[in-house]
Amino acid sequence: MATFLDYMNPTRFMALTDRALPWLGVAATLLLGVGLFAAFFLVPPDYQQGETVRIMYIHVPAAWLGMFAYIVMTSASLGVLVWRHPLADAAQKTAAPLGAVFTFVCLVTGSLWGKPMWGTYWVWDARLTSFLVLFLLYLGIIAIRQTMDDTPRGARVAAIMTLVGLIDIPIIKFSVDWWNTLHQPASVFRAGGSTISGSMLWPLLVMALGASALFLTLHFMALRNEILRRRIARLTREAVQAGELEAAE
Amino acid sequence: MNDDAHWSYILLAYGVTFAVVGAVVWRIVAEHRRLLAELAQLQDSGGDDV
Repeated sequence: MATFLDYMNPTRFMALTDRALPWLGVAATLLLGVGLFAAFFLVPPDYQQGETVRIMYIHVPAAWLGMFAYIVMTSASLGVLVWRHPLADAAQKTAAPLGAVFTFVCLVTGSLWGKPMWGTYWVWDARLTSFLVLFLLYLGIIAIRQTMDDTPRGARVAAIMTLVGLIDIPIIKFSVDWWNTLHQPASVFRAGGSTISGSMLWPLLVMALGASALFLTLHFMALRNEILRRRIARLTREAVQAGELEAAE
Repeated sequence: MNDDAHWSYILLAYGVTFAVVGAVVWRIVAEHRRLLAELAQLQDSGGDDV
């Protein structure tokens, strides 16, 4: 039986994702479709927030995925630093822009939720600031990858920066407990169970599952692109070297 | 603030999300097609099996 490490081979990964991607894409479409329908047509208005609560169904999954992408990058960074695995390097590189996108969506939708509820688009409270730091970390890691190309040194520097930035994830999670924040405390994953009514909770979980399937789909697609790009670069180098040899003879 | 004003924030939030995620999907798919074409061109011009 093939182990996880066997699929770390780029050729096997391409074959596996070739079969898995259509299923993942269909799952993401169905889950997001059901979740969006429920968010707009089945969920009742909140007794305090009214209709605005519907922003939660994109804001919260985007926040979770913004952090999940960073966990994926951290795992891949360990693969880079410990095993120096090329697929781990590619996974780290391709997860960063996706994490940045979901973090950006979380910040923008949070702002648009904050204005009608808090009366302001932004406050420098611990949750919002630590999430902005996460976005800046993503931008920094992307900048490193772009300036240092695909060199092993660039991969190691980005991996180390990712590991250092990991400290921001627990700060984001516990910021609402450690400091007084305008942002509400945890209401889904908390000791004592969720404080959200079941009629509002299940569409949120469906949206979160759909967004996770979308993230995996996009990450696998981006990873396949990165593998292709590296194959093209290798073939081009070999073609140039063969041309030089022929010219020398 | 009335519900009409709330809906403008809701629609803007969903609009931004769909635009950003849609742009990412479009970019990845377009890049995939470009890379496949480039790879086929290289293989046609004498590269090895990939």
